[in-house]
Amino acid sequence: MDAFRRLPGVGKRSAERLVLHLLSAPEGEAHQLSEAIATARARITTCSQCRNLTETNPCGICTDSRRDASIICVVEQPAGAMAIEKGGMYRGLYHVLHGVLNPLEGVGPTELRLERLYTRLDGGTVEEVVVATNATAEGEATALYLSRQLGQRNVRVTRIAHGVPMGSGLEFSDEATLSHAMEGRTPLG
Amino acid sequence: MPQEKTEALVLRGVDYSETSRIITFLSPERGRLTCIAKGARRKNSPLAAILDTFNHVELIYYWKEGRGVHTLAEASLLHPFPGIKRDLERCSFGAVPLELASRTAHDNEPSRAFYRTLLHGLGRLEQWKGSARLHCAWQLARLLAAAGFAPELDHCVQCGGEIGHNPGFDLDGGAVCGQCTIERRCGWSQLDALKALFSATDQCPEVEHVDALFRMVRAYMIRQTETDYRSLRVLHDMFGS
Ligand SMILES: [Zn+2]
Ligand SMILES: [Zn+2]
Repeated sequence: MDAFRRLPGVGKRSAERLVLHLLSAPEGEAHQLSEAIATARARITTCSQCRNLTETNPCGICTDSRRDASIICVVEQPAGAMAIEKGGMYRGLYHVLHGVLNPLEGVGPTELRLERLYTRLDGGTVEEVVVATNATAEGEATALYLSRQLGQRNVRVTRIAHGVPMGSGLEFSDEATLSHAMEGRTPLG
Repeated sequence: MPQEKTEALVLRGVDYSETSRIITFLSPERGRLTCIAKGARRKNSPLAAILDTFNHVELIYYWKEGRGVHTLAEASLLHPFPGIKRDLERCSFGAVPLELASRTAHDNEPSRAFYRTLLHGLGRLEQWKGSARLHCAWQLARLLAAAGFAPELDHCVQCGGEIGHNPGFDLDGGAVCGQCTIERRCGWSQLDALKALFSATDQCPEVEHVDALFRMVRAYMIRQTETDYRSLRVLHDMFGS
């Protein structure tokens, strides 16, 4: 029951219902579910280029020739990239940091593996990096740090316009706000 | 459960569940105060912005006697320190005083002087035009003093005598005279600057030897509080020593 409760959106009641359902369902059903979870877990990896979660490496976005490879959008988490994709307006590539600079939690440039982002700029294809980290103290610091580091590498660094309220995450913003934020991005640094 | 109201500073926050965050505050009466902020991660929740790191806030929470985590009922923003957050050096070096507070303040123990010192220091940092590294050293010195870790800088900590020529600085307690043994000598001009740092109550003094002072205060803090600081490692990674 506790295992179910740890899932997002599952409270005590729903966990009870899930357990009761699985216990009364034919054995095959429970088995199928556990297999599906195990396979997904085993198949999903991080893209070696953008570090987004994917089943193929490189991911579908990195290998899609119709996408604009001159622009990279930097997000904190895969959920941020997913939210922007849902908006449907953005045609560039992504880079997922899996975190933000957070001195108190011991997360610095090394932990974020920022050199992986820098390497992507070496080819000279990328002209713009849009920093779409959250509007928190840590998200802002990450944006400022990236703008300084990337500025030395001859790319334009922009920040999404945060109609997204200060302190909140991309994945919690609605699609209209997000598309708007992408269009209204401003130069950093 | 009794409800309490206090002002506080947001030291750090971590995601707890899909909808809630655990926030560590520094408060004048309850010292380090940890609360669960339910709904803080929910779409369009105003709590997310209110509970951002560095923020000066007013809280209403349910106090649970004997528990480490209390429940936040309401929070409102007093000041978000935009002047710190919009500057990379200020917000990065500003994190070290927050970590010192989160590691040395005690749960459920009044810490009025310590709280006032941190709040005042953040206000000064917001206006500070000089080196963020120096300001950080000043804030740490003031906080260490407020927490009872002020070094002895007027007499030799080893023999109690006059400091005289060729002074040194002992991480175990303070200044050392020329006759007593110490690994490294710091000289008078650095010792004077260090004195200025520890005694300047209102604002960071404009002194020289910024890098040396920062290293001295940093090493002294680590020794005195017997703690390693994650923020110092990250700063080193970002800006070098
Ligand atoms: Zn990819
Ligand atoms: Zn002596």
